[in-house]
Amino acid sequence: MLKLFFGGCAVVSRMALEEARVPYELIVVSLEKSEQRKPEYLAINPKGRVPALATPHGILTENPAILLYVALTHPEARLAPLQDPWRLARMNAFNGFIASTIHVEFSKTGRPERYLNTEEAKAELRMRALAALRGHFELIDKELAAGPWMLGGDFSTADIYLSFFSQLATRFDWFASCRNVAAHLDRMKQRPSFDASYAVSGS
Amino acid sequence: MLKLFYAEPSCAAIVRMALEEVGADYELSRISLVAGDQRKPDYLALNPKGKVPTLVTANGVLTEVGAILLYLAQTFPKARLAPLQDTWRLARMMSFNAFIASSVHVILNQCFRAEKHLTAPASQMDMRTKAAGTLRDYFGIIQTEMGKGPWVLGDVFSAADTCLCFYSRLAARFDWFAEYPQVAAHLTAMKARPSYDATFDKSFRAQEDLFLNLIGTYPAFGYDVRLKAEGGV
Repeated sequence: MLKLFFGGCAVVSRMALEEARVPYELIVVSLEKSEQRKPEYLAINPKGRVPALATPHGILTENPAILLYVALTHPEARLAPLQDPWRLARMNAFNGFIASTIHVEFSKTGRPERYLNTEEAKAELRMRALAALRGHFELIDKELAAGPWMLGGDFSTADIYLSFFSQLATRFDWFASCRNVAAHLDRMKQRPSFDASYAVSGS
Repeated sequence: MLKLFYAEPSCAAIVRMALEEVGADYELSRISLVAGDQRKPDYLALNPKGKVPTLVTANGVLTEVGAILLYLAQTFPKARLAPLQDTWRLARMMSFNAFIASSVHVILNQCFRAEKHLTAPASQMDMRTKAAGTLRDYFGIIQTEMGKGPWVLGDVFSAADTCLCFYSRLAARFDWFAEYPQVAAHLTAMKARPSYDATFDKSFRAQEDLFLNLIGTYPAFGYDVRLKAEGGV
């Protein structure tokens, strides 16, 4: 059975597993306790980050790769337009943008110490990242105009990935003005996979 | 014909190298990042993110290196740029390229272009210093992921190798690069491919030298990056 090392943005990978109805074991890695930096976890993922998916072949990391892997190994779940290289490329481009831009901007706002030591620098980085995020979400809002999903009529992993960061962005006062994104998040919340992916038993 | 919106020196070189590897018929449309072409309305109409690379295909406009690489691999299957029949290895290729894009590229950019991110000189220095250390750690991770090599996925060449090569070239300017012999050997192997010289041609190298000369005296690097020959090894 697949094992998902879980915490933070690993919700994204979990949602794909839930959507594909794949049985998996959840192993919570407490980021608050910095468990991702402990030797036993670094032996699993030397990057010291989540998610990490333990498969029969080995450990897989990075959300965009796990999303594609789940889609490829469970084609019946239709999580990606596997028969259409162009649409698949568009999905991967969106997931790449989320991973290398949106996620990074969120990291700057929440964990600027990852990039900087001095308080003055952290404050500026945070401020600029907040402004950048607004611009990025406004762009996504335009891309979602046709909707209902990122690729248009067909649901894909891009919707899963976006929903995690949309949920984080709900705390910003400008979020409601990105109406298409807000409506997309509402649609995502109606899917059983959404609540299931955030739940941790016993908490 | 494919059209690549291209800037030197930039990570659009990865896409060019992949186009060379698959033997695609392509056209370069050069833009200048220094002149701010990427923020001009005609470019933003093409790619609202205001970045390179942008690949114009018969289907439409495609962005993001990782996505473009898989697209080229799928549309030029004979070139074997990705293990398309092996889901696990394909996932590993995507994972590697995603790590490069979301971690290595981000940190390299902070290291070399801190003035884009922060205003105060002291803050920029903070960013460069921290990023230079992180970059070194990331190459440690890359070496671990590569295992025995010779390629990122082991015995099979893939788009992950073109991706790594671009960053290794820059990392080779740092004195710690020699601590990662597999990565250094990988760069040497990449240099033997015709796609390498086609991509990192005279024009690319000249632009790269100009760029590095601008930043060459950052004390955070511990030494002058200009002192090391291009490619480093």
